[in-house]
Amino acid sequence: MMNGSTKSEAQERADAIRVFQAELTRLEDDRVLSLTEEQKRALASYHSKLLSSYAKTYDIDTNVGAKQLSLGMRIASFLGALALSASIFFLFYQIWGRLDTPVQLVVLVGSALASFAGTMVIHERDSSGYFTNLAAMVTFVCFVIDLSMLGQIFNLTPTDGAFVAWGALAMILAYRCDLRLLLVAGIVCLFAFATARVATYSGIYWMNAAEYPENFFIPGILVFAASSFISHERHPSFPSIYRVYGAIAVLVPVLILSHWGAGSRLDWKPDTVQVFYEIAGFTLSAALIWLGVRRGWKDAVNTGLTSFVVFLYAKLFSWWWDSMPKSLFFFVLALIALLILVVLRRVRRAGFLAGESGT
Amino acid sequence: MIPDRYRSLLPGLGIIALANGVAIGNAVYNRSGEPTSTLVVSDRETRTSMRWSFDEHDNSGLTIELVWCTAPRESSGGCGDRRPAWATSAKLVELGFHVDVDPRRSDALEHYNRIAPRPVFLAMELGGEGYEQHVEQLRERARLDSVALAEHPDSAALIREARDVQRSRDQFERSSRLYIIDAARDASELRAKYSDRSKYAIVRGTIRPRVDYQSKILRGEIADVQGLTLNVPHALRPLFDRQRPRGRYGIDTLPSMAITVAWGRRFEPYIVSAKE
Repeated sequence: MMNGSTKSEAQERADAIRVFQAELTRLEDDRVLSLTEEQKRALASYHSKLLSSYAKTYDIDTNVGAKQLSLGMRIASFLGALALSASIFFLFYQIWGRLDTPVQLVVLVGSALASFAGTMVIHERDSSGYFTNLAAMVTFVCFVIDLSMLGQIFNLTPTDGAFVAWGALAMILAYRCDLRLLLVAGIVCLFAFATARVATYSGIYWMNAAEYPENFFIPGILVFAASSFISHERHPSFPSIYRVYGAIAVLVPVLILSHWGAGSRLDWKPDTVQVFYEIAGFTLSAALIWLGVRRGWKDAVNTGLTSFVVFLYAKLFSWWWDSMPKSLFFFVLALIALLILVVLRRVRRAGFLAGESGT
Repeated sequence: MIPDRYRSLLPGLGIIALANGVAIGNAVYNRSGEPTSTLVVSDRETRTSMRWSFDEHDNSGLTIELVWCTAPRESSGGCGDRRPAWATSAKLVELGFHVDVDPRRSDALEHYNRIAPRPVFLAMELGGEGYEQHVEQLRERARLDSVALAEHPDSAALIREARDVQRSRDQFERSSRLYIIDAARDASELRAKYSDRSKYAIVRGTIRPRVDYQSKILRGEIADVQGLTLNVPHALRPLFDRQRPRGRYGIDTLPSMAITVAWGRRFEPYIVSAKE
């Protein structure tokens, strides 16, 4: 039984109650089940108390209308966070030249510290999480501007260590306030640091790390694996973010190398490298689907399927785009899409994902 | 004892404080003690940094860039040329690159294109031999042109060539005298070789091997020179702002002035002073 100890668990429970109530009404209408008036009152009272307690503690959506409004609020919160962050970014640039160096330092460090403390205060009072999301994004941007501007003011040599600091703060905000946007920011920063380290250990200057797509593999695998190694009992929506971003971080470089063999560090002919990565792309996509099915990770299955289709279409494009009439080319693509639909329907009917746990 | 409600703030505030402490500590360390080099550059060696889409209302700060050149090789070289004459294959070996593939081989271009840049130290000279070589090269070209033109005074091609050389010389009169003249893996090696701290600066950069497509000669290419963008301190702004043309986009020229730039212990430069 779910206790509703986190907002997402409370929301899941509220959704289950709504479905149960609708089904109970149908069962009663069809005369399959009939509760006594006393039982009905007791059930309604229990559900009502539970829902109002969730609504009070977590500001969850207790009906369909509220759920639709919530989506709008989430989008508004995201756009607001971006706009406010951009506003702060430009405000810094607007004023920094008019300030002496000590004042610049006080403004930069002070804004990062104050915005973090402010986020924590807002988090305590904001049960919905929308305002916390906005404040946390502002904190993160203030901190990024803080270190970047310090680098500019003192002409410091760029260092990949900055990504560790930014990533750590984003992770603290994400886990403390249950914010997915900040988790993505944290993953991106720590991923950038890990990529820079891999490049450095293999003799490449860290700022050139992105020129060699193979540098992304190990950090990508680490991000994917983090979903299994870190306990997410209080953040059930986080593991899928790790898996999706980890998988993308591996599959996109594989896709690039399957078309740009010269970008590989493997000492092979570019054509050989491309064939190797084409095969790797299909294999990894299939492995991801298999793993997703086996573990009940819908996100991994969807990412694997998408990448499989992308690799397939890219391959078909390189084979047939020039040689085939365009009408026939797109007809073949349509046939392949139908084939994928048939296969997926069979998979769904077989109930492979019935045991989806989400973690 | 810290109350529980404030304890949750500690990790975040700690990260912010630590990161700022490290950054400011590095800056203080860089500027402590005697600078590794101090050069007095002019408006020829500097230009304002690209403002991208910021105009002055959106970006009140001012940064300037040091403009560097390289000693001429064959018929080319100069400001903007990233493959200097001194960056031979022997120098690349010194810098730790494996250059065992013959650059004339058909797959050499592809092979060397795959090799990543390496961090190195670069020696930057102000108004020295590199600059003089460049002056001499242009002078020699002008002399040869005038001899040829005296023999064939009606040749349109020679007249055009002479005009081009004259234009190059005019441009050269205004271009940077800051030349990158050498590279090494170790800063102390360069310092021992170029000991005059008021003429030579040691800077960080990266170099990669490249094969010239036409000549098939292997040469080092300066991929990046770090720390050439300098923040203009608030106290010096009035001097820089005077006479400076205002442009929304692009690069502004600076008024004629002498700017003292020092490189600290971490080879990070900063403006010490400026005067007209």
